[in-house]
Amino acid sequence: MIRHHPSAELLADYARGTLDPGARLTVACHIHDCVICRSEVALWEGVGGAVLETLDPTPLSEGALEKTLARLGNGTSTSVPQLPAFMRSFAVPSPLAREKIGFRRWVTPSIWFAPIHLGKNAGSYNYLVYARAGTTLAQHTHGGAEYTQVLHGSFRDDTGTFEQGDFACTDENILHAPAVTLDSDCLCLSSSDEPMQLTGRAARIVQSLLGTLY
Amino acid sequence: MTGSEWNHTRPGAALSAFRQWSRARGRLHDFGGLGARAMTDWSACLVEIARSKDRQQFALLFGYFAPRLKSFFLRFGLSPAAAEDLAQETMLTVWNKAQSFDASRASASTWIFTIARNLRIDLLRRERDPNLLAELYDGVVEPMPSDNVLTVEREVRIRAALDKLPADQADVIRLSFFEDRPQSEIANALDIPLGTVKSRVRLAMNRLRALVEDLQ
Repeated sequence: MIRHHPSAELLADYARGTLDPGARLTVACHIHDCVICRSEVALWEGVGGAVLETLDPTPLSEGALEKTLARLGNGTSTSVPQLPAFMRSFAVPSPLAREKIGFRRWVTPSIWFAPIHLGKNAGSYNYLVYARAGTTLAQHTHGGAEYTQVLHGSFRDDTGTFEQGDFACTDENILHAPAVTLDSDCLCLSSSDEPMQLTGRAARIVQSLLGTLY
Repeated sequence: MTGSEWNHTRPGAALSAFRQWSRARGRLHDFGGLGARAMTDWSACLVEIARSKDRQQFALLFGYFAPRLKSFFLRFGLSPAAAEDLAQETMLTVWNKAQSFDASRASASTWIFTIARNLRIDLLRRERDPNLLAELYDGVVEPMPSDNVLTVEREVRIRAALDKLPADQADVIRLSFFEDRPQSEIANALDIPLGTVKSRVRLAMNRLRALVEDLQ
């Protein structure tokens, strides 16, 4: 059962189309699995349709219809990037499957990171992070807001337990060391405004490894 | 055929006249007239396009939606040329994907809005990184896993709720919904201090949500 959801503002901004690509992807993966949030997004999309109809029309240039009619039937082909082999054992929500996932890098024998390439200047740091059952991630904080969607397994930090389908939101005020629960490994999708800042000494070695990723 | 002829032949012309009349009464806008009937007309039009690739129907749909889509993109700060391109692109996608439109789940305008929204997002991404050009998909709405969350009945309720909303709150929603810039323009338009805009938006949205739930 999903217990942690994106805020009402995030869901409305998702429906309006005003989130940056990373936040958008994380919320998209959440609503893919969450019927409650899907319903909330549907509400604002319905409002979007109604508001669209109330806009005063702006005339198009002459011949716009004819130009469009002449292009009808030229279907565009859709290309979906191939899913990397290391992701094939996971159920990948379709919004994520559309994106390009980079090489994974093991930073300890139990943890790997893989960047998601949302394009240059996407405005955020986006990655998958995997950890084996029982692993604790180095204590860290974030420069800005961080959104995390649990794709598989579950983890725990000071603020609660986050299970598959849950959405976690942290900011620069939260210093945490998420611990993967013992029953299963854990895979999360994360998007943050700023790179993660590790606080311990060993952690800084990890940081230097991570640094080469982003 | 010219644009003005479309106006006379499109479905729901009487509703449009009603809407113009209500606008003339002095309210900033009016959600009135966006009832079930207009929704069904455009949905039927889309279904027909999907069924028989009817260009005449497409022209009707284009005549109504393309100029509104252009306004939609202009609101988000696109140049007139880019707004027009994207309006045409949206209508092309509507043609190509008409088969995936499900009239029992969404109104035509909501479906078209989501396509326009996604195309704008893709455009922004490509502007930031031109190398994405080859990789991006066609901006098409991916249907959510099947459920009946967004049904036409629900959209009728949304429109009824928009009508019931006090005029100033409806204005806040209308002005803020397609606005990606600082909210100072909304503050100017409504003649209220900037700081109040955010809380007004939140209040209006909560009120609208409550109204939709009450109508269930």
